[in-house]
Amino acid sequence: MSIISLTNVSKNYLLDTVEVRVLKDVNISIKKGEMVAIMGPSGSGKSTLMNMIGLLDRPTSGTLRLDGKEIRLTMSDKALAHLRSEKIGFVFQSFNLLPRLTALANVMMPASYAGTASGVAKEKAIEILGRVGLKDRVTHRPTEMSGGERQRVAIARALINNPEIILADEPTGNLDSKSGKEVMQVLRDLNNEGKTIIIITHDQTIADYCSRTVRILDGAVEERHG
Amino acid sequence: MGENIRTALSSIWGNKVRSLLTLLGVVIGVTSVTTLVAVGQGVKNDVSGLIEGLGTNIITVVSGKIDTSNSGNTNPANFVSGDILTQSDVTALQALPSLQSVSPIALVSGELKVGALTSQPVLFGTTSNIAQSFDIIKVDSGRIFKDTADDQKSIVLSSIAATTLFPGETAIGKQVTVGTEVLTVVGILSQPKSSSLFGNQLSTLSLVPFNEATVLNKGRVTISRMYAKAFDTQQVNDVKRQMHDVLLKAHGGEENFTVLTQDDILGIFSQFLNLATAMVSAIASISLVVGGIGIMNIMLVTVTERTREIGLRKAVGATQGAILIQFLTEAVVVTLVGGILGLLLSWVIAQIVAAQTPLQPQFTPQVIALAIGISIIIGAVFGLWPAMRAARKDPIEALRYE
Repeated sequence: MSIISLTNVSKNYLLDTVEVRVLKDVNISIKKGEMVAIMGPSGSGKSTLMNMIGLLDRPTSGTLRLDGKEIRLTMSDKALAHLRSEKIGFVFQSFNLLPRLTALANVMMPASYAGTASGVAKEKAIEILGRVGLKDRVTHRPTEMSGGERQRVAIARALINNPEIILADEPTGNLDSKSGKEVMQVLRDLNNEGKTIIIITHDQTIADYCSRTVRILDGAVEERHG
Repeated sequence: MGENIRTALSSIWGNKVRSLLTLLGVVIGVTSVTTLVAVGQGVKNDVSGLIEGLGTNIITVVSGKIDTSNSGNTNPANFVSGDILTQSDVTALQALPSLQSVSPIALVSGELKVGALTSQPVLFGTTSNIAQSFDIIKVDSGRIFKDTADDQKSIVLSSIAATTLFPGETAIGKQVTVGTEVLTVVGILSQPKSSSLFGNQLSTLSLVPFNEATVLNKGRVTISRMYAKAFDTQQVNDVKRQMHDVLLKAHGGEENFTVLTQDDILGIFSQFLNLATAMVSAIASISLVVGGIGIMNIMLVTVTERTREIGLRKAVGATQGAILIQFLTEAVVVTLVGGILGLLLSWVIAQIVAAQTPLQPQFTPQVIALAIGISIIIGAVFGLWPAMRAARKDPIEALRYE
């Protein structure tokens, strides 16, 4: 049973007066528990695809299903926000941690939007930080941590609402190779625990961690297994 | 919500100079409004304390028509003419069974002299029942003069006049010159409970018999006002109406006098004070608007600076409403801090005012609530637009923002 399925999904943008077709009749199906790399050069449409899967964007045409639920063009921002909060954990290339907050507060932040009581969220955040190897970094601020540690805080943040899907956009892009390996190991461990992991990358060595690679070029998808 | 407040406080603390400059408008606005209201409140308390001290069953009759419902329509010329109220008005009012006593008041100008010593009094010519009609007048030693001809050359001195004119000796039985008249001191009044603002006037009050006042005023009988006292405190307004009817009849239907209860006097005063407070507050509120625009400006800067944060928050599940509330809370916290600073500043100013002037500003719970309320409203009103801009940001664009 696929957790994400895109059927004939197209996305057009209006650039000045010209309509640009960024995605062309894309068909992808990702099963629960898969670890998938989406690869493509810049401008290929992979960011748009990621935004679509992450429910930050809506398709112009075609059908997007998340966990069997069809995402309609008419869905309210509020409904999409709730779905994001419940189903998807984001990991970004530039970490996007809030510099004023401690690691713990950063990890707890999405829980407040999911309506989790702060006491419960705190306990859970400490537990998750321990799981990604940051037990003794709980009260540190992002500026007091290395890049690899920051990205692990970001992964912990993605996990706080216990989503089905982790969506990582170039998660190792700002890291040295050692930290990059550590972060990929964390993601692989999560996959082994049953999370669906989707990684957007242009780096073949990252794609090699995944069981499946979806290549995108000029808005169209070609797939290769292995 | 707790996190929003913490974020707001830490961003104020993180940009101290910027925050201080932004808050200045709100601080100045709240300071001026609360100081003014506190001063007004103090004056009101002072006056109502004074009037209550006189006794709530005292009814004053003055010449001239004062419209108590609209003080703008008063003809000041009416107050000048001294021959509107007459002796027969006094007699007519004394016939009312609801009145305990009625005392006419004739103002006498002139100074009190004993040898080389002089004293400037407020000099009332009145009748022997003045102490009943007007509670604030109390005899400290001696007595009030009688209304008989053999007691006409008498005077009752204020305690100030007695100590000024007869230093170190008893004044009673001694003689005082007023104009060309030589009067014998028969009594001394006690120092009346004074108001910080209006206290000085009654503290120099000295009394002469009404007929003697006529002599001193070169034969002119002038009753500038009358003090009457009702038996029943609860019926003051009924008694006032009765007095009004009696006087209207005596004056042949011409309403050239005014009967005032203590409430009316307080009302006229409050009306004036409220108008003054409203006018100055209107000017002070301009600085609140300026302060509000400062808040709006700084919130717009904040929203732009934190575009990525907004994108991130939306990506992890924040709804538009949540973002709106976050930034609105921040704006309100900022103005609330300004309001509290303004309140503290105005409290300090009030202490200085209280120490240096006769004004006694009053920090009632209403004044504090006003300051807090104003700051919350300013924050909410001027923070709304920046917060809406934050809430409407597209998460994709916002996350891409550098």
